[in-house]
Amino acid sequence: MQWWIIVKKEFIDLFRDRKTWMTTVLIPVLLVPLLFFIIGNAITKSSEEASKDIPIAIEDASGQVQNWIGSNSAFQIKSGITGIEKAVKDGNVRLGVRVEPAFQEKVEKMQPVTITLFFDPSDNRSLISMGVLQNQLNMLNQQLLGERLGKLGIQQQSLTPIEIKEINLSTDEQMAGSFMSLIIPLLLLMAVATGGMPAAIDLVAGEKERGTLEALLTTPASSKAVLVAKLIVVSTMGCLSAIASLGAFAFTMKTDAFQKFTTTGEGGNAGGPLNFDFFTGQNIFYILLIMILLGIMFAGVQLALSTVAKGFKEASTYMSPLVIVAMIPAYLLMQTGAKELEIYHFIVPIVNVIAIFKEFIYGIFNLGHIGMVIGSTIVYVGIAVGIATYLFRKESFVFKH
Amino acid sequence: MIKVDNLEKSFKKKDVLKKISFEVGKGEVVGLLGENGAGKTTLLRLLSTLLTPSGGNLRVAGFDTVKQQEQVRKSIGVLFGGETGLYQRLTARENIYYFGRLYKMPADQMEARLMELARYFSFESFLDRKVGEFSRGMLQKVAIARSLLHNPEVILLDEPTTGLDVTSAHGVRKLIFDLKEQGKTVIFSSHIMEEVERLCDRVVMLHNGVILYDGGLQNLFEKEGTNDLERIFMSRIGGVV
Ligand SMILES: Nc1ncnc2c1ncn2[C@@H]1O[C@H](COP(=O)(O)OP(=O)(O)OP(=O)(O)O)[C@@H](O)[C@H]1O
Ligand SMILES: [Mg+2]
Repeated sequence: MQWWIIVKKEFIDLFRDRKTWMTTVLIPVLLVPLLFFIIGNAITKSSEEASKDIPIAIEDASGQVQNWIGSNSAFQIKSGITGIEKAVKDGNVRLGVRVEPAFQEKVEKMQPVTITLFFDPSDNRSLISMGVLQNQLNMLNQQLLGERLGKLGIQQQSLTPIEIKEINLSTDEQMAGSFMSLIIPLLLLMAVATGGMPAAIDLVAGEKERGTLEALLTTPASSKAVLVAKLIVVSTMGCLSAIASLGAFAFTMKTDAFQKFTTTGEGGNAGGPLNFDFFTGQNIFYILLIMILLGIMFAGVQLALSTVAKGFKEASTYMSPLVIVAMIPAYLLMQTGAKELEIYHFIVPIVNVIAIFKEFIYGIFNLGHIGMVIGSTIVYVGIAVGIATYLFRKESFVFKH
Repeated sequence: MIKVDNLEKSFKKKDVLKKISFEVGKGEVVGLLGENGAGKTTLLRLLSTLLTPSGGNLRVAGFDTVKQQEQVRKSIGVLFGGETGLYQRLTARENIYYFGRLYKMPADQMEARLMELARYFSFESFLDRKVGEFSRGMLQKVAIARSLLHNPEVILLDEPTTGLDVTSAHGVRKLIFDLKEQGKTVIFSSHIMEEVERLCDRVVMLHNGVILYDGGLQNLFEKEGTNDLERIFMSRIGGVV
């Protein structure tokens, strides 16, 4: 039980180091709500902005609708735009309005006329601006209706003088880019990747620099026991950090800022039904299992880097790219919908974690995919630990000269 | 107690030790001399099982340093170089007990031995203070106490007085003397000729990977016709006297 003696000592030692605990637990706990508070605020602000100074392009031969819209100071009519669809798509204007050329005639003949609205939901503000426009047009509708009813008495058809049609110009991919299915695994990955770092640096490169590792290895504790103990400690720190940030996230989910966040459309309900009940017992079990495996995998990589490094500074330099490595797959899969995932998405390291989270969040529970993620991650754990073990046994890395 | 037989050690292509052989008997105090990079630390690391020989045989306290690592480790007490190898955030007692547990010492025996050593080195009042606050000399005392906790037969010290003030260095020298009285076997490396002269029965001089001289100090002095070890050392390694 040599390794257990070492594990106990390492935890006491780390526990007394404020810096380690700050990076591992305190920072995620404080950072996550702060992040959402900032984003939530930004969204409230942007929804205010979205209802003001709305750039709009209008194609209206009669000029009647254009005047009506122009009477509301919230709109800024851009003139001289040909091709409204393109202007909206390119973001030159936020909204486009096309009024049937025969508007005036039809209105006079009391026939229904069509006004087509163009918007691009990949621009966060478009939905809110759209609401403002629809209100404005509804008022015109009501006004015309009133006029008709006044002139003619009640007629079934005349109750709906304008039929409004909306055309969504965003592509499917853009819509599938759901915020939620990214942020949760991203938080988890970042926490697991960074949470163990201070410990990994301290436990090998640090011990090497201070000469304690050499002393430790002259005791009957085998180098295997030493490495196993250090792996346990580093992966535990990574997992603690992940639990801390997911806990902070769950807490934030219940707060106002977050509610705002999901109701303004930013929460990404565009990709299909968002399942907030994805934290089921079954899913939590697999999430924890995957988290632990990831913890060991990152611990292996970090201890390997820490072994190669000559001291603290070098070790920190080697480890900083790991954060990016943990983040890239989330961006790679940003555009991929939960139903469009390919087999290799469940096998490539780290990408597979994001992929399985996407499924969980969209309520898909595919045991085959889960098996692939867990199986392949176990292989990566083996490789990472194998490399760490190999390097840790190398005399030229472990001993100063 | 120690048997070095045709020992070779090379790192990559660099031969640090080239087939060296010597023996150390029980109760002997041997000084290891040599320039920077001569291989003193490497030899002590090989003896303490930290490094694996590239060739030859190495036995400590009757055990093979490769095949019987654990037995060798239990019979040796080691203190390396300028560092004390103590954990800054742990107290002196925690540092020492940590190693005691790794040596699988029973708690009561560990406690008794710690008290004995703390009294000898007079750091009883510092036992429960974090070693991060200690002076260099105090650290060295705790580190030496830790390496002697399991009462090893063979003690390997790499430059044990380097960086210490006069009082602390004197304390270490007194310890080596006392260890010798107790019949322990001690090998220590040093750059201080005076302390080697005072403490050792024997010196081993390393140079360019081979042993230049191995034998009693008295013999050497008689042969060279002088008691000036520094002069002898310089002339042996071919330097300017
Ligand atoms: N782990 C290692 N990997 C590669 N080379 C090493 C290693 N350890 C020592 N060396 C090399 O072996 C040679 C002997 O080093 P060693 O530390 O044993 O010398 P030393 O006699 O203790 O010197 P000093 O008086 O400076 O302490 C040096 O050239 C050193 O660079
Ligand atoms: Mg040395």
